[in-house]
Amino acid sequence: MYCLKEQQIDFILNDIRARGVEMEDLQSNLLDHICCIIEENLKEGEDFESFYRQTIPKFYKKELWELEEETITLLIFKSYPVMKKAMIRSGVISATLLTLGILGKFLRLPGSSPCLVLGIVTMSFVFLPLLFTLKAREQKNTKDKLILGLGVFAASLMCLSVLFKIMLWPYAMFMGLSSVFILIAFFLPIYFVNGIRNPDTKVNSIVTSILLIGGCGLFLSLVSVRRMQGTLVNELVIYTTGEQILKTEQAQVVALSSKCSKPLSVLSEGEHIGKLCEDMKSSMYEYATGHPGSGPSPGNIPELHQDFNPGDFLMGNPKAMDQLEELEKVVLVYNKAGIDKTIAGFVPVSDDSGILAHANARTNAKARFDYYSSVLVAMNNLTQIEMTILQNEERRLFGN
Amino acid sequence: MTMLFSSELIKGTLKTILLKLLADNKRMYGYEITQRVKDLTGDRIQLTEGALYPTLHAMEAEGLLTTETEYIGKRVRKYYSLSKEGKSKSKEKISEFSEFLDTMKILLDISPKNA
Repeated sequence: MYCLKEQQIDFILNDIRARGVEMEDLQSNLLDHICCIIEENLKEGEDFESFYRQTIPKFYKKELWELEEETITLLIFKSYPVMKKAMIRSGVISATLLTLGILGKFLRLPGSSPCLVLGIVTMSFVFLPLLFTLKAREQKNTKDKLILGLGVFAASLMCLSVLFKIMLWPYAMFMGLSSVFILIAFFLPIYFVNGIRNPDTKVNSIVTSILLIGGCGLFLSLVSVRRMQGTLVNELVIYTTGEQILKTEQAQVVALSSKCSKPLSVLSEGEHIGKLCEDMKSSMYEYATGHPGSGPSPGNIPELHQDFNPGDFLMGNPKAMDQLEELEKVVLVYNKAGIDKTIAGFVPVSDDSGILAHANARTNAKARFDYYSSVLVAMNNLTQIEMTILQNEERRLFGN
Repeated sequence: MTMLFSSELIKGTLKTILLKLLADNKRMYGYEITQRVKDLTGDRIQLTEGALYPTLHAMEAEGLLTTETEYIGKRVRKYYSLSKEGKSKSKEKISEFSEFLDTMKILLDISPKNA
């Protein structure tokens, strides 16, 4: 029986490691196995190294690390049924939550946002990673696994970008565009070229690629409907001009009031309306820009959320909803008081201003949808309401 | 001349072979298992290391085997033995395989040699 020296054992162990076997357990098993073979079969005086070189290839077909790969595959295979079940369940749960969330969002039902968030999170962090793990097992070469990984990563990123978009969180656009870029620039060319080379997957690859391009196009059209910069500037000019006129008129009315010793705001509702309008404009501006402020100015074009929708603003802001309802009520009282007291030249606050037409938003869900093209239009409508009240004051002070 | 069985045939029965061997022996290490199989089958079944060790690792992860290690000089030897779950699994697999053999005999119309 051959007696192995310590250096020879080290040599075998180092060679096992060099051949790509990383699991310590497997290294020990192989080392002991090889040592046993050598001890039983190598005769004294024979060359250890050449015997070892002849023995080791009997352990594998191509490379020694195949053993480790097979071990890992078997270990994953044991959990395969559990993972498959988890994947199907998470897929069903995320699809159900997404459907409920989207329906709830359209019908403006409470709880739709948590449903959407949970649905997207389940899809991005549970379903898609499990899909990758299971499908990667079926892929034979590393290139295919890489393509699959890239596709799943881009899909997860796209799901998250939708989530960020819905929640009005920052970087939604960046994430969305990145995912489309990864899909179109990297995933699709490799997937398409690989797919059409194989006659079995040729048709499937072409159809999937077309669907993918179509899907990305639709996604892009949804996320990148940017408001034209020109339109934004026009709205900004209208809004800031209105605000300037309002401030100038307010100063004139205050001066006139003190000059002719007549009290301001003969109708207390007018003052209340003005305060409500200012509060609402501030909170709208903060919601749309992400930071507090009294409003934009011509020299400071604010960075607004691309898809700011006053409907969403109201839904996510109970205080604003209350203010809007209160505004409607106070305007009705104001108009009635103005007419009843037969104030000379009194012009009631018109419902045509837009915002009031939708003050019954809590009950009239449909009216809340996308009425205003931007926050600036909504804010300008509030300025116009203030302007009407101020002009009534002016008429009273000037004696019409 | 002895006929070696194909690796496909052995692959499907490897787990049963290991369970039976470990049920009959208190504890065994990898090389010992391969030698015992060779001896018992007259060299007709030769377990490859590429099949043996991944299967042993998977069975250990499944909880069918328990292990203990011993130092043989500078190297470590890992002994495998059946866990409680492994013992009941061994009976189950042998019984399943026996029924499978009976079914295959009927299916392939194989008459017993002494018949």
